[in-house]
Amino acid sequence: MNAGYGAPSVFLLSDLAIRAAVELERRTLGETLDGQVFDELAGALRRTSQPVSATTPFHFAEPGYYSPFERLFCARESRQSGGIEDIRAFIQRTSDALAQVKGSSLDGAADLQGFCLALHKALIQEMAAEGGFVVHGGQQHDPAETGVCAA
Amino acid sequence: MSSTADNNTTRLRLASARRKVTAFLDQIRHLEASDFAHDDAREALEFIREHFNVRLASLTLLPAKVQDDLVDGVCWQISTALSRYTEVLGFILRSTNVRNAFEIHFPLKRLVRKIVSPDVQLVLSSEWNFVPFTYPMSLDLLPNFVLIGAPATESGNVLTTPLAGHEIGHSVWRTEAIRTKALEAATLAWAAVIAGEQTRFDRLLNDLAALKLNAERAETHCFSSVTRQLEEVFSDVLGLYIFGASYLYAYEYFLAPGSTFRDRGYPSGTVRVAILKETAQELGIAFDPHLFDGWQAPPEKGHIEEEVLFFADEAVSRTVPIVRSLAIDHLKTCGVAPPDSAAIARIRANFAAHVPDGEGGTLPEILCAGWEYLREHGGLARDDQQPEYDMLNELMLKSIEVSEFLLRVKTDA
Repeated sequence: MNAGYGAPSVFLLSDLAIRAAVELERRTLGETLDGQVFDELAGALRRTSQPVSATTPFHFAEPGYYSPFERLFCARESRQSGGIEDIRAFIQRTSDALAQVKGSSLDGAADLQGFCLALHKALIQEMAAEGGFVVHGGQQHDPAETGVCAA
Repeated sequence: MSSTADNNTTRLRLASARRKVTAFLDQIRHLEASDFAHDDAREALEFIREHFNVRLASLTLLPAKVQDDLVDGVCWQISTALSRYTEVLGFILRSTNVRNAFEIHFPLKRLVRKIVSPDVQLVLSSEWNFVPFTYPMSLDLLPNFVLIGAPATESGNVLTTPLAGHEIGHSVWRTEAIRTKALEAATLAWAAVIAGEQTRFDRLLNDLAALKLNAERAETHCFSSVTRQLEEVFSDVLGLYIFGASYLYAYEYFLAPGSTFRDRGYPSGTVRVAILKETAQELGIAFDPHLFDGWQAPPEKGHIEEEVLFFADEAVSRTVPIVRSLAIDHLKTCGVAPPDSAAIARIRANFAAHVPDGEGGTLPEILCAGWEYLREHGGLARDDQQPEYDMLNELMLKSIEVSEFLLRVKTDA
């Protein structure tokens, strides 16, 4: 969940997603845009969808990512549910598209903007569900914070 | 896609977002006028201020005609950021409160820099919640800051300082190499536990499927308990190695007689105590053998939760030796030595004579001596013992100050 884990936090990823959506809007409107955020978001998505270690006997998703990514995958790919490998492949595909958005057509940009907004909404919902707003909720666990005992 | 933000409601909504960020920035300016005992908290404020200045500028630079969906997203993001960091501002404000034991800042910061990273910064504060806690370099705007908080009522109690060792452990756990090794071992243990109880695990997956969790998601859900429990074990071992018996006494002070609630992210209270005792024995740490007598186990939960915990606990149990070694090896590599028993005895004798230690005992050694004194005097909780208790606290604080002075004189010599 945290920077030190290699993957960005859910909060940081949500920030990148909304910033990318804004830049894609600028592109649609023909305004000057800051394309660096697309590379940052693409890189962050790649890191969240890679296994923690190649040597582990089974793959698992970092806490905080599985639910939003699965919701996003199901909504965007019109599927009922998704396995980890399917979700990873979907995130990787989108990450590759984002990395190339600066040179892509406007149609492709509109689709990516839809992805960014959906990703952002899914992550915001996840943070609220995790207790991101009420960090001392006892049973709820805010990944940013931790303590010597369960309250 | 929805309509564009060419209507009054959306314009006003964006105006509200700007006003909220402006109010937040005003509050930071107000806080920056506070009297900070250490620079770290002030520097944390600067980072937060810079970030929200950028956020305010980006709000101002939004295209004039922007989709409603986008405005909603921007407003959600602003609210989330404000929500997270308003709490951090409160934490920073409370770090200036004179009830805090400012003397422990430097030795703890040196420790954190030694075992986490040489450029890390530390903010010690308090919270109006009876839980020691930390933000272990997990705040996006403050990636190089370790924030450690004590319950407000305990923030002046030096004897609870060893629990900071556990909180620092959470930051060390984020070291890529340590966490990866621990997770590799945990996944192997997990696979072995499942293989040995495949039928039982399949039944659990069926039960979880009824809760609309597919098999992979269910397994991820169960395994997250393993990783979180191991982080707690790692942090306990780290705190114990650094602070010796004082960690056990502070732990007991705070959590006795065990938890009435089992959080899936923590080992059961009795298991946690057993791991501590075993580790203390392995490290040769002497402590009162009756310290954890009668420690209570939390009540059982529902069937599915108990089954999740069964598999998680089994995997944790098999991984504890590796996690323990990771913690101890890391500390040894960083050159951290456990408290010295001869130094503890010397400091303890000084306390008995009502004088602070003048020979540069380490923070853990001073705390171990303090706990020994307190326990030998029956806990110093009677009204007529309050002056003696206050004196003990002052002796420890003064010893820490003298130690810091001697260290600096030696460094400057």
